[in-house]
Amino acid sequence: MNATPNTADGVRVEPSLGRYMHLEIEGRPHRVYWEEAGPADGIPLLCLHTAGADGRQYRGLLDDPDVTRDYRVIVYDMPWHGKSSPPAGYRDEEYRLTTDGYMSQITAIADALQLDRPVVMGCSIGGRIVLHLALDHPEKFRAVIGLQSAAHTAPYYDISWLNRPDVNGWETAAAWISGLFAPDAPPEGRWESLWHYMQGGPGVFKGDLFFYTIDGDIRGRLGGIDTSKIPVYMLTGEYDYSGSPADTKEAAKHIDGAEVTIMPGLGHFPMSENYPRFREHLLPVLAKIANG
Amino acid sequence: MLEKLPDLVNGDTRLVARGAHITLSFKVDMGDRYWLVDIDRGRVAAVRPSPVMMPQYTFAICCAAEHWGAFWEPHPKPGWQDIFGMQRHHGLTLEGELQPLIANLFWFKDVLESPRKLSQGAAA
Repeated sequence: MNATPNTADGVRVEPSLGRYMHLEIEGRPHRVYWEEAGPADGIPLLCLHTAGADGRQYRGLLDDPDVTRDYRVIVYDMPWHGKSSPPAGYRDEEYRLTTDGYMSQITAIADALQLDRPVVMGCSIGGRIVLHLALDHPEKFRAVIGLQSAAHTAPYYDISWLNRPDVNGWETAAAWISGLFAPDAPPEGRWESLWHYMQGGPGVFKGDLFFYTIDGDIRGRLGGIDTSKIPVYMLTGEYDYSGSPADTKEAAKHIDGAEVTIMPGLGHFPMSENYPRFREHLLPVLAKIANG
Repeated sequence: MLEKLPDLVNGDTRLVARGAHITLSFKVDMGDRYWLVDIDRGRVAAVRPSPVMMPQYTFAICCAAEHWGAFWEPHPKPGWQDIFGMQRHHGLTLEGELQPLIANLFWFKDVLESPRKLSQGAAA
């Protein structure tokens, strides 16, 4: 994709472009929105947003010429999230993200865009699923980058509060996750990240947390990841008490060759709460993969 | 620390406005002592230290006194910056009728965190 619109003086246009694709995921028609930036022949970098949010979290990455020089950055909104549609018939079902469904979604989108062994980077639920991908589909990806990765997160609050008629679910979702930021996160990054959580469909954050707290448990299987086939990088903000540095280090203990970076002054949403600080840690990893 | 809540909250016109639908009492429990905080349409009407004869309140937030001190540090250490982080890792419990708390979670978090604006970090 490439287009440069004419604009008035003083107006800056970001390089990313967004489109919709129609594809089948697990045999069901879906309409999925994605954005991308970077050269068509760049190393594909497929980015996965957090539970209950959407691809806007990666706008800093899409707008970073030091990334898009070598990488074709692709960010999609999961079905039910952001500008992607829920599937037909959604009114008659309860949304629940499963491990198999999540992996099918990612591989279907990578195949649809004909990505050649992309790097896949995900945060939170995305940081969990990349471990599953490294274990079950190492041949399809050239490296995985897990942000706020943990092997499992046991429920530490009652997620049924996120979808009740006597509670505004999306303002509550934002309030709930508002403590996952570093105290010195720039207000604009913190509140834009929270805005993502204030928007969305009823029950979607809760449905994602089914994967995060129950179905996505990968404890006991991490030793099967072969980092000689697929390098594993784990970057975790120090202020995240959900996918904490301790959780990441515990998971990494079971993945021989995994590289861990603990990021000071960052929380659960490093790519959106403070992108300038996050990139200090990400760029060396991307350079290493590019040179690998 | 909690005795300062009326000044910290009632002088913040935006915070008071956001709490316009909140009228209740809640308890901040520190183990061997507690405080009842009376809210009237988004304003802190009173902060009553224990003992209170036959206390009535909608919900209670319970944690050890030294943990509240860590929570109220101007720049909390990782894991101490949020009540749910403390619920996961440091023994904080939420008890009682929680719907008003959850339905107004941003507001209650802002109120509970407001003592960080004070220069000292000692609990209560």
